[in-house]
Amino acid sequence: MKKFLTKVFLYIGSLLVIVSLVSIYYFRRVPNQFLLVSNSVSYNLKAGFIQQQPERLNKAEIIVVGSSMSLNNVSAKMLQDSLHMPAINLSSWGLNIANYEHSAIWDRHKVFLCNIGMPDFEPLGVDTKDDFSFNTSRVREIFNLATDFNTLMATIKQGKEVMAIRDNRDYKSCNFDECGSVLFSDSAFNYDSARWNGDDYLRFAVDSAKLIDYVRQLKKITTTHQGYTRIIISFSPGRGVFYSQKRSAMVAYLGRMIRESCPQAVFVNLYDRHYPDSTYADDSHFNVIGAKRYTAELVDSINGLGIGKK
Amino acid sequence: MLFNSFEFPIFLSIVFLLYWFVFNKNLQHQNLLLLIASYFFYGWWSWKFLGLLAFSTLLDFFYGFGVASPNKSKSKLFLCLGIINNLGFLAIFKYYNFFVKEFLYAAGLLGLHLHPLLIEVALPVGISFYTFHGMSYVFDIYRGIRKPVTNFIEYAVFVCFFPLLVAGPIERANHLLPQVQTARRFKYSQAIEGCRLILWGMFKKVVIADALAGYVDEIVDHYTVHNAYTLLMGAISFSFQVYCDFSGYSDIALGVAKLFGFELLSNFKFPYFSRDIAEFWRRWHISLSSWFRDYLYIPLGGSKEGKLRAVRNVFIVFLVSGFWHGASWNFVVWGGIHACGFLPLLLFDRNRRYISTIVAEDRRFPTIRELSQMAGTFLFVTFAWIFFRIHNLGTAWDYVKRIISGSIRNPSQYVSLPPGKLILLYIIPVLVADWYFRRDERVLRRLGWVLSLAMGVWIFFAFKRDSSFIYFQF
Repeated sequence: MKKFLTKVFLYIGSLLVIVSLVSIYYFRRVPNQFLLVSNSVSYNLKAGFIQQQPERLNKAEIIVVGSSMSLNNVSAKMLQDSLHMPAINLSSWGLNIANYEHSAIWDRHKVFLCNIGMPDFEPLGVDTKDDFSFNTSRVREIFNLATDFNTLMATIKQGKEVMAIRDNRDYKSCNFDECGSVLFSDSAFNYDSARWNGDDYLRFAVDSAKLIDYVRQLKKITTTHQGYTRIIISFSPGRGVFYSQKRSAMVAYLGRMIRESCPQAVFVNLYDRHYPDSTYADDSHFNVIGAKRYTAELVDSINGLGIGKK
Repeated sequence: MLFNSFEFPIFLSIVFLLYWFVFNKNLQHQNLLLLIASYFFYGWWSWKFLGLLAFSTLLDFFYGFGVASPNKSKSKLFLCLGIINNLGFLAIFKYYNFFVKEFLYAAGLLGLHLHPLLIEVALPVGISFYTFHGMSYVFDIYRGIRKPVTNFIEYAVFVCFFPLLVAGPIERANHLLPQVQTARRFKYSQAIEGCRLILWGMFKKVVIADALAGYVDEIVDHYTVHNAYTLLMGAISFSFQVYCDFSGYSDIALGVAKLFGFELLSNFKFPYFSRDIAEFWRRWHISLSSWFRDYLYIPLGGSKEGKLRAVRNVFIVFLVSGFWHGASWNFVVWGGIHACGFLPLLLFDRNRRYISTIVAEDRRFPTIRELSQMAGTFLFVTFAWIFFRIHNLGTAWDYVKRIISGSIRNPSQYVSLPPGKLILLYIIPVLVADWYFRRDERVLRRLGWVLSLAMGVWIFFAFKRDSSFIYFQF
């Protein structure tokens, strides 16, 4: 028995030493603006971005929330300049409206803009542990890591990914502008043919059940939280090749449901707008040209609601 | 409690230390500890079903005395009660809603609209396993193979020994009960072998099965947008996912049992190196297939009463075996496909060709003929797995059709790594290891310190908190 226990303790001890060394090696390479508060590298970088300049979030009067459809298709800087209201983009990859359910950000007396598209109907994949407070400590991060994130390997992989996210010529860019948006470059962009030809509508099997679920989530937020001034939900178009009357009718149906179930929210349907392929980075995300043109349309719609300042 | 959870190593360490250092003087105390630990292990998942487990155990224990009666009719009565009881629990908790829904569907076709009661309870984990333990006990007493146990704790440990409680192997009274009744001594070699099995099982589950699961889910959930090549890779990946998941569990169960001085029945013997379907079923989920052979196929007459009877019996066994896996038609179809694969072998008396030998037993590599036999069997099994994985029969058939008729030119748009390369990366270690194990399972002993540490580190980094075992749902 003694021999057995010695061997087992020796094994576990060696294992812990190796695991600790590997973990320390990777985490030392992670830059400061990266917080371990979710299983998404994009969200963790956004959390770090906000933590380093909290006054920007406090002063913002327009807050852009949502997934990459908000991160890449909406220029918060342009909203700020055009509407003369401080703006910030809090969105990150894969965030769904349901992710925000328990967040206190809705109680900030702000205007919220959530831009969505077909990719927003994918299943929830992001697990945020700070409920959008963008505030944490190293102890809390280690606790998150030990208790919540799926694998240590995945978290280490995030650390490695952070090094690769430097410019705006790749989909994995998290190179935020001063207001937190990421507008993809229109020159020398690293196009991915699979994404360019991909059809998110088919991929995520968008159907009326998913639309109903989306409205249910939105309704939960609009009834739970009362502090916001206005919630605007806008729907982005996709590459023309994927446009169809059926899809347009589905988006219109979503708009009707939002108007009926969430009178506090405003639905801006821009799905039927035609944008040439030269304005896209893939099937549904714009490049900088498309994002600016699209944001200009949003500015017009927001002005039409009487929200912008002269 | 899951084997692959933070809690389990703590639980195992405490029980191990109490077992060998505190309760080691007295066999009854050791058994009592195992019983309490097993109930704690089960209650960690859901304490509500502990009563059901205890009640089922108690009934079978008492039925055992009735079945052992010299009065034949009394013995038969108690055997029937034992079977009805165990199947009754299964019928209520596992199959009731299924039958009611099917009945409602049929009634709806006839224009009848009924509103019977549906039971909204979760399926008690391990119910298919512990009820089969109980049935094997009363069957064995009825057949005179063993006498009833007089000590309830010993019987209860046999039914719910925690390593095998939730997903087997399905033990036989004749094999496990004598071990429960005999004093156990700590053996260094047995304990080390147990640790190696736990490590290897964890590696198969955490590193391979869980990694493949992500890709399989991605492909199956969005199968309409994938091409034939990706769909085929998805099916092959699932073959290895289910194998590594279940055999990983079995290895851990065997390993944990060894730490307490028990030897459990082996559940897998390199099934993907089988040369035909008959051999596959002698190597896959052995404890279940041998259970059905001994307690269903042979009592039905086996193959001794003519070909027609044998064909009928084979179909009954495979269909029931499919249904055992879950209350859904896809499992029945899965069993039916295997019966169809077995049928030609039975008709041409070729189902017992590979009873005692393993492929390339005295050679390093298989012959071309053996290779093609193994590939053919594997592809057939993979085809059947599609119906196991996809619960909707229409969707499963559509998946198969897309593999056969879809384009194979373009790699998938959505799987982030080329699926072929990825699958090879995860499958190769299992295939290589199994190829060595097939001639000598003791080869695990050669797992050196460096390789063991490398596997441990890999498991640590790949560990997912919320990953369950596929066979828990059965």
